[in-house]
This record gives sequence, C-alpha cells and structure tokens, in this order.
Amino acid sequence: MRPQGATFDPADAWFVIPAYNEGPMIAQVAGEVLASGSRVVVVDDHSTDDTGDRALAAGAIVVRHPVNLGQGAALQTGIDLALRRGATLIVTFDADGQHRLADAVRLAQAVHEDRADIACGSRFLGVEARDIPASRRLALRAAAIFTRLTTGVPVTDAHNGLRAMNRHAAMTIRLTHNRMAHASELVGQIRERKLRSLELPVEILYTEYSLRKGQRISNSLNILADLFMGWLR
Amino acid sequence: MIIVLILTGTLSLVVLYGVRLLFTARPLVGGAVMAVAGAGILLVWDPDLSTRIANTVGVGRGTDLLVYLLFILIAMLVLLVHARFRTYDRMITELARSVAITHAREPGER
Repeated sequence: MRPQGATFDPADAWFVIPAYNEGPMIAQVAGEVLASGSRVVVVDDHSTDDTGDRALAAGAIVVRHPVNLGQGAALQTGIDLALRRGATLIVTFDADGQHRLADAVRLAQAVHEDRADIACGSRFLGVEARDIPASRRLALRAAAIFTRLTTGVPVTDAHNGLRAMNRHAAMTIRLTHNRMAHASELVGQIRERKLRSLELPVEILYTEYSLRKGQRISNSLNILADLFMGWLR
Repeated sequence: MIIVLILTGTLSLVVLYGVRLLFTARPLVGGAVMAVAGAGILLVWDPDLSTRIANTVGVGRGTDLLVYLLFILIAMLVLLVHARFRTYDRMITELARSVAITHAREPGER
C-alpha cells in the first residue's frame, strides 16, 4: 500500500459519472466536483441531448459510447479510463444531483485510510433519507435483502451509486451486466474476490428531477431477469 | 402417399447436408444431423414404429411423443440463442467501450 497522509488530497480522486440524457444537471454536478480539485470522467451513454458537450464545457473528460449500453457498462468504461490514466482512488457518482460531494469525500477518505478496498454509500444507515417515497423505500429494502441472500454480503443498500474504491478494487471488479443488475453483480464480486468493503451512511437528495430520472419499481423485474439469465450461463 | 414422398425427399436433403458437415470442420454435428434425419425417414415409412417407441417410455401415441420432443428441442434452442446473444452483447460492449475510450474528449479541446 502506498503511504497514507492524514487526509486525502481531492486531486488524487477520479470521479466516474455515468450519464444518459442528463443535460439539465450534468454541468452543475460535474462542476461542483471539479471545483473541489478532483478529476471527473463523464461517461455519456449515447445521450440524445447535449450531455456530453455540457460536461466537456464544465471541464470534465468526456467519453461517449457509440451506442447506448446502460449504466453498468458506462461505469465500467469510466473505471477503465480512470485506471488507464493512473487513478489510485475512484469514486462513482450519479449524474442527477442526488449525491452529496461531502458524502463522496467521506467514502474516499475511508478508502484513503485503507479501512476498506471499497466503501459503499447507504441511505439506510443512521442518516434518515428525507423525502424518499414509501414505495421506493420498500423496493430498495427488498433489493438489499435479495442481494444479501444471493451474495452473502450484509449490505443495507445495494442500489446506491455512490462508492469509493482503491486501484486494487477497481482492477478486480469487472461489471458485465450492462443495465441495472450491475449493482448486485458488484456486491457479488466484492465477496468472490475477497475485497474488503464497508458501508457508510450517505444522504440522498430526492428532488423532482432525480425522482423522474431514477429507477422505476417495474424495472426490478427486468433486473431479476437479467441476473437469472446471467446465472444460466 | 404423396406426403411420404415429400417428407422423404426433404429429409434426404437434410441427410446430404449432414454428410457434407461430416467432411468439414464439424463432423460431430454432421453425424447428429444424419442420425436425426435418418430416424425421421424411418418413421415416415413405418409410422407404427413411433408408437411402439412411445409406449416403451410411457406415452400413448407416437405423435404425442414427437410433440413432447419438439417442445424440449424448442426450449433448448431458445436458451442457446439467448446465451449466444449475451455473448454478442459482451462483444459489442467491449468494442463500444474501446471506441469510446479511444475518442475521449479532453476539456479545452474542441
């Protein structure tokens, strides 16, 4: 392990932000992270709006999928690029403004202090998620229990896009589920590949915008189908 | 009687296709194709044979047995096609990812 300073330098962190049609928010989200001194890779998942141009104008490195592949694929693309550029600490961050930079910094700090290879945010630990719709809370809880049962990792919030990982974890994890099943896949790989992980409480900002862009409960059936077909292989 | 000739003709073509596969890169597949098509010709000329086989495995009529076997075959094909699609999915993903990273845009350049 590399020598650890007391607090981590934001310039060491690479933020990977997968984005699909996030034009209205992307410049603000990427801009806030960039202002803190960290590097930002926005993976434009073949948006039909000007997401890529806005992210570039805000100062982010932009990679654009030549076809739409899904959020899992976008995360893996961003992680690959950051690794190629020598990143030692990678943070995954949502493009819709629902994550707080302060939470990301705390996760990054935990990884920097080598308390874990990967630190995952949970909206169900301590900090009460405000304004979370009851139906979504139920669906997320069910998803966490399902992930716990199938992977054996005691997660409380499997579908939280806010994570920080060191280079070792980023090189070890390989997301192959292109759409949303990648969240459970990631937890499974943490277990299989013996990564040290921890969960920290984070706050999710539920705005009208993020709710509109977020997962619909009906999609959980698609996720289950994806996972099932993955096991068949 | 006409149907017997039609089926025999068609199945014979399949047997020939199997023979061709036999001498190319996939001799096992060729053998399997020949065996299945050959069995088909046998059943066309002796329909009672299918019923006798059906009775030994506990099915009343030969036609029913064929329907069950057909169902199993289709289910297997669906799974195989799905697996193949997933393979293609992964290939496309790797390809698209590599293209995307090669063409990464840096801030400040236009």
